[in-house]
Amino acid sequence: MPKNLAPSTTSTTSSAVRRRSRHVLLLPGITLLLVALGFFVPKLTADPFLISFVPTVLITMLASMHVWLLLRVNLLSFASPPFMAVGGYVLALVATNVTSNAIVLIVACVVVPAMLAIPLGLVLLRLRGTYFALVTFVLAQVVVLIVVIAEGPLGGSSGLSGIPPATLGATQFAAGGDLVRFSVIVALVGMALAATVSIVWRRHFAAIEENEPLAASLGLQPWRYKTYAFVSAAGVAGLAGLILINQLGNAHPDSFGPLSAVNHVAASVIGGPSFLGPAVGALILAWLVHVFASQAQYSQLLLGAALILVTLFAKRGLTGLVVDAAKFLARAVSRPGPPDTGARAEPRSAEGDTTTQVPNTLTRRESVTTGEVVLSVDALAKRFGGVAAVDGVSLELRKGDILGVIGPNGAGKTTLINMISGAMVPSGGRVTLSGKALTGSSPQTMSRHGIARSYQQTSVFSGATVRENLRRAEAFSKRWVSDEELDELLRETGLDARLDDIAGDLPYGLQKLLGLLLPLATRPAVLLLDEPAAGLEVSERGRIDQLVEWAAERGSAVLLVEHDMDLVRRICPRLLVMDTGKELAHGTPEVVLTNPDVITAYLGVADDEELADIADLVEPSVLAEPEAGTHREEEIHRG
Amino acid sequence: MGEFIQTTIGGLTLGAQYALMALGFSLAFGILRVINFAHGAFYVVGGYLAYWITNEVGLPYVLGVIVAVLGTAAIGYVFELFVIERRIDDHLATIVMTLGASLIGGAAMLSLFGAQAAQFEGGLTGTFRFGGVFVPHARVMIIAVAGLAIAAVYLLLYKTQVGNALRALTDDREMAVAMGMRPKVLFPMAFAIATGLAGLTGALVTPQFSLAPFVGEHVLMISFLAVILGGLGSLPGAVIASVLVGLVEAFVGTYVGGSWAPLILFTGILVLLVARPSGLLGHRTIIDA
Repeated sequence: MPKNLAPSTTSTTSSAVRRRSRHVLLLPGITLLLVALGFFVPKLTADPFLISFVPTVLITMLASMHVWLLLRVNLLSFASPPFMAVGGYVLALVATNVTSNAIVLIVACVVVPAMLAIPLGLVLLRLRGTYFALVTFVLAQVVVLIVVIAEGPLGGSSGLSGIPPATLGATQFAAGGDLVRFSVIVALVGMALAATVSIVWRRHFAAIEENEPLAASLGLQPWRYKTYAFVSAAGVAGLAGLILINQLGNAHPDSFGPLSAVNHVAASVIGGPSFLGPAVGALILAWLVHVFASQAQYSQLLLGAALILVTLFAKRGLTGLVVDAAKFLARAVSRPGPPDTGARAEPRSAEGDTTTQVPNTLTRRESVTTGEVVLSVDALAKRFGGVAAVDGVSLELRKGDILGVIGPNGAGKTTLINMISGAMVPSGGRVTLSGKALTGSSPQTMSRHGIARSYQQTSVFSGATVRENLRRAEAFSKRWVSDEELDELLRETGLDARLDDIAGDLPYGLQKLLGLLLPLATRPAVLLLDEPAAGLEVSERGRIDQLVEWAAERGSAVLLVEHDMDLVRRICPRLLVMDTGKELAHGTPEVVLTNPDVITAYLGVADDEELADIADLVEPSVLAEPEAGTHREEEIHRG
Repeated sequence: MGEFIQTTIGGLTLGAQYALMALGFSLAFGILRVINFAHGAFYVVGGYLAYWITNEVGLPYVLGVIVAVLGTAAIGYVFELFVIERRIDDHLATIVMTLGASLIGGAAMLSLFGAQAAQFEGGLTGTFRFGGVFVPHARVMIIAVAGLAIAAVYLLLYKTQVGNALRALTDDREMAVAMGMRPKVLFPMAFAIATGLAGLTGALVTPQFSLAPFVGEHVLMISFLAVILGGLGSLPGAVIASVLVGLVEAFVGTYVGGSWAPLILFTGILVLLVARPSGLLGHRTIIDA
């Protein structure tokens, strides 16, 4: 998709964050222009080679567009032939029995496959990754078999012949220039459909492709946008079937063999994720087939090799290579010196910023004991086979309250957050938000009701700029902070100087802070933070205090899972200690952290005498010691 | 009654052949989480290797089978090590790359041996006869080999150190690597076993069916059926499902008629996926694959 090609150069203010980039329309515009040119120049429409070549390319292009659209939501589809078959047979039946009016045919060949895709999508889109790919392959086989068996209406294995060509007024789109023109018009309709879908929902698609769990936790409903992609992709494939059958004049099951999908996948992968990808891929494919017309094995050999090489070395396909080369050239031309050093203002981020002290200005909030209970968790449990990861944990959070959840590794803290945020379905117990029962709802439902979360590992849309990350979160969420508040958050995290940087290129600390900022900016009623300080420099940890305080001040109820005991003691008026899935202690930090059971759980001391000694000695920071391994591990991951 | 028994035996032998076909495919997915779209191509390459050794070089059929196994295993080893391994975590990328390999395999056989089906007799030609029921020797041999191969794969995976290491790598690659297991040795080996099984199947089964550059498509389809039906990654599931597919095909073929058999199977699978997405024996959630 043509995102990120030309990040706007303004920085910092949220009004700029909102500004729409116009370049998104550029690539489809160029495509339309090129195709229209081919359409109106008479020399191109009279050439006998082009008369057969152009429709062939367009058929492959539309079929690859089907694959391309679904790849945008991270699904590999082999369902181009079955939907082409639906389109093709719809054309055959309508043109033979009802009318050969071109407009009616085009509409029918989009609408019927798309309508069929709705119930199919409901079933198939529950599957992901490899399974979806396999099942679409099976679907392709089923449709061919149905056609073969339906000898009456669809002609069975001998096919339907004598299909009248599409007409408009007195013009018959049967052969020559008219056939080419008609094919081009149909292809334009298909491209317009695909372009509309992929532009209108570009943020949703890109977010699903890059980081579906994060998108869902921000409120996006993945199944909805996958359905949009699937349904429109079915319509586009239907149009490919229309051109094919209109060109052939007869419909035969062999035209829709399941393995022809391999060519469409190949064209789509080789072309790349740009909107022009399917067109480029289809051109190359058709050219290969044409050049090696008498020795099909060589075109196949080249195609197979190209598939492997592109996947290994040019992930974004040929169009991606061209874009990269263009960028490289542009940079070389505009800046003759060594590129890109010192171009960006050195950010005021925490990395070089050793002067930032952990703030002592904040005083710990009082525990909130009155007011509305926002989140109520009752006897929540999660069992994996025989292991109870969380075993009957209950807690209540009021508006503006901050609850720290601590415990040794494997105590079930993250599982607890996963269940409250909808990432896991509990085995027992209840989650209630402001009186509404939400137990076991999906992440997007939880998010829409105001439960937001951050992740232990960095979780951002790493291929997009910080600005685009914010735009996406805003697009997905039902609630969003004001511009002033967003500016404040950006300043506090040091991200304001990095708005145009690709999120994945940011240093670990800033990525982590961005991952914290996104849920925070959705103005959650409940904010679940999973080890926000893990892997941060000491100087960066101070920002966590500010952000949590910021959220609590605005009425969010915060649940903070953390191993940094200093941080926990600074900001949590109330602590819940978990061990082996159960609540071990619950109360103020002073009481909880001197509880012998808690010390035993952390240090593994059982002896009473030793306990007495340690209880005197123990500094809360010592309690953080067993977790040092976690941090080290994360530091390795950073590198 | 004679027809019923003949159909049952026919279905079982067909099922055993299908089980052999699906075994390598299921293994590749079970261990590497790779849907090997080149499985059918490896089958065809195995078939042609055996054909070449037997018919064109003139050595005994047994040698042909051995060369087929070793040859396809070697190709699989190299392909995993230099291609798949580099993108092992990206399921879509591995699908696309094995598709590429499948195109290359088919095209290579086409240019070496031509599009005509090869006249490949194999080594066994006799027929057993019990009462009115006929069973070719070759099929009995295939059933025996299928049983042996299934047992060997099962023992390898569940009773040996290598099997434990492989399964550990599948469960949590990062952790297994941290514990000292070497995916760069074990994964190519597992893939080589999977493709070697495809080659073995090709060498044994193509004399029964037919040998042409693109007969692998059918094998690939059967493997899909078996593993979807049996549950992705479940070896026993794949075996049981293969036998089931063989039986359904034989019975529907005998009592209903040709093209209904595959339609019933494929539609059945779509319905099964709605009702029970993890297959007959699969217990893992594959929805988050």
